[in-house]
Amino acid sequence: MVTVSSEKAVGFYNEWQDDFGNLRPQYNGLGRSIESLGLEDLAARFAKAGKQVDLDSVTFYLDPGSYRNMPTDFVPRVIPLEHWETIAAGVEQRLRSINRFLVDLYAGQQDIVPDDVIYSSQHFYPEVQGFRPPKDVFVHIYGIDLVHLGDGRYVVLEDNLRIPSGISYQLKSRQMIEEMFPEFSSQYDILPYGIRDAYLGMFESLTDNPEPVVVLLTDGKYGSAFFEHRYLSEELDIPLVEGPDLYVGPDGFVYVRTLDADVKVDVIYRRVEDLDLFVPGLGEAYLDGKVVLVNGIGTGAADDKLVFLWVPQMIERYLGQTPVLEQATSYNPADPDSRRFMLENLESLVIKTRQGYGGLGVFVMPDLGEGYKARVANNILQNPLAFIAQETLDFSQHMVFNEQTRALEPHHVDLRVFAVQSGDGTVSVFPGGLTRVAQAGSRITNNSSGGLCKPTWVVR
Amino acid sequence: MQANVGSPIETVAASFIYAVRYGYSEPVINNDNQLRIIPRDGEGQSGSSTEVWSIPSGRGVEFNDRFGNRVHRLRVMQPHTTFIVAAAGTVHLSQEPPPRMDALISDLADLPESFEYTAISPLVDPATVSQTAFAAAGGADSLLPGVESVVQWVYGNILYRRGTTTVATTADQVLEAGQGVCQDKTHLALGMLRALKIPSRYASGLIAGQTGETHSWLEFYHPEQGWLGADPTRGVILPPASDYVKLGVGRDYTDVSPVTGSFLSTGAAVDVAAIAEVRLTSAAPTLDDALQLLEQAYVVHNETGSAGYSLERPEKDL
Repeated sequence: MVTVSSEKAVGFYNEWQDDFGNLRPQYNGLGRSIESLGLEDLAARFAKAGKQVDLDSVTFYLDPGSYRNMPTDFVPRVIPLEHWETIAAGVEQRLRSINRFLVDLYAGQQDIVPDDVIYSSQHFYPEVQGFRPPKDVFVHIYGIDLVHLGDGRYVVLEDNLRIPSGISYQLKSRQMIEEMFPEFSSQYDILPYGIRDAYLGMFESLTDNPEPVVVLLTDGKYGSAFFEHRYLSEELDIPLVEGPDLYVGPDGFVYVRTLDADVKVDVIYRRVEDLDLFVPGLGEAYLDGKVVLVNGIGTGAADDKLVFLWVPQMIERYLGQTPVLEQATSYNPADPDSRRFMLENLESLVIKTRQGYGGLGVFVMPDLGEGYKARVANNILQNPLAFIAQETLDFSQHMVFNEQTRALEPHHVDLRVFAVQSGDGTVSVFPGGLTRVAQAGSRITNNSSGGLCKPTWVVR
Repeated sequence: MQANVGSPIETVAASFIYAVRYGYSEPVINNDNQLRIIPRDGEGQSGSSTEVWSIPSGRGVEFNDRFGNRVHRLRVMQPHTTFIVAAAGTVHLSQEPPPRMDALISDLADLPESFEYTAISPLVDPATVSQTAFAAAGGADSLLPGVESVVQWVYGNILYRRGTTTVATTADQVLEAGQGVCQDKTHLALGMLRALKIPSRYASGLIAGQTGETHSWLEFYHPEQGWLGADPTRGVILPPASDYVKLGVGRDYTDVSPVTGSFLSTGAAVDVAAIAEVRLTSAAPTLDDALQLLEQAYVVHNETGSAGYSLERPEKDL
């Protein structure tokens, strides 16, 4: 039987096994495979797979130019279909509502989010006002961070609406596990994770050109997610271009320089934020309707961590539905009553910096020492607009194989699900997602905080 | 919020101009700012009619911030090396009624204003100046004498001197240095008032009859009459309303800075010139008046420059 380190395992829902150490039904097949493989062989295969990650330059840089591979744990996460159906419905509902909100915000009127919150957001762009994107789609590609509290109860922590990244790591890890651990996947009827048709169909739906010219705009090989840019460009068969490869012509349209001629571009799948810095005039070309941007400009106004508080109201307003997925109860410290509550209950909350990136701006107060409390309280008092607070969730753990100790160890995991919204009104939610794994004893899953990723399957 | 008792003593019309110019060492690709440069409505000010311009022009939106200040969010998308922002217009000013003297500091304890305006803020930590506050106020339990002693202490003990402090100087640093400008005196007085548990806030604006810089003073909360003014730079409580045009209020300067924002450029802001003017006339000034006035402004050269290269990490973290 597989050895399990019992440390820190108590008290959290473990997706792999129940409180008595019995494998949950969807892991019986995997358990058998690992047992017949033996821990020594498993360790050898892990080492080999890890080497492949290096050889394939599967990277996510933290500082530009400093090499860092994407550590991967090849014990897959298996999500039962009935859980997935709820997740997919909730993700679609959220994506549609947020998109409607953005259309109202920029091209109409909205009264869901208070003016001072939305208009002071650094990701609200006044120049987008009055603009309607092609087919009214602002958010084409959506990433949503969920945690599992157990027994199919998934809770939303964050929406990613600007340049959601990570889908390639999921694709790559699934591809690798099928090649290197074939006996794992052969046990299961796994829903395919094909993104190509949905992406290409989405690009085509946004323009009148039946054979649109689509390019992926990258910030280059020193950018944090260059692996992903390269991977997606190959997967989707679209050229990978940098700023100098594009220019705005005298007619206002955008062109890509090629060896033969300069070709008019219909759709730019942009993976850079400050468009005009990379291609002067690109923002204006987009707002003039000369080119389509995926995602549109200004979507970040709705993924401000503070605007998150109002997404349930968006779902009720725009779809007339109750949210399928719960979201973490959150507090706005700019509101004096909420701030008072936060200060009085600080030891039980998670404090996130509003504009911060990554886990460095996340304080899980129950996991931190008493010394942090006064410091964080002072920060909240001084800059109430810079933070939000969320309830601390005891979310699920999964098993990570420790190659040194040859044991499976429990770590907290979350799930970033990706969805694509097309101009013809369809939404595709890709079954599975990027499972991010926290370091042992931590609840922070961000890659910059040392997290791993895990292949994730939805099984019938 | 304001609970004025009785009718205003007098109302006067005033015209005002505020203008600022930034020069950059390299072209700025876009410039995104929040402007708090038009008169506030309320607390003795009303009927403001103001226009706001920028050169180059941009796209904007207006909203009220959480302190009730009118904010212009303005984003300029045209490349530029000089950026000018100007506001000009008219406003009616009326005198606050005389304060009722019987208010006690303890009457303020449970008010919502106490939670917001006696706490620590970025430039004012009441704990660091509380000894000075208690020494100055001598255990006052009445509101007006408490405010009076703090304002007079700061007026008498902090030397007015330019060039020794910056916009980021904190209240305790002012106390230690013993000198500063209006912003510094206001911050120190706010810290002392807050240490005494008197809710107080920072006010930024312009002084009538003066052409030059913006001014700052403070407001304290009166349980029956709401926010009332005091000016530690001039050593007065309840100065004549006609002397002041108030643009914004907040916990300290960081909440009401006239222009805050970021720009995208490989260069830096290397010089800044700002000017303000208030006249007791009802004739509305124009953009040309503002630009002409700006010619007289003293240019502050910033050799190191404030870097505005705010290129974002394009990908969110994983």
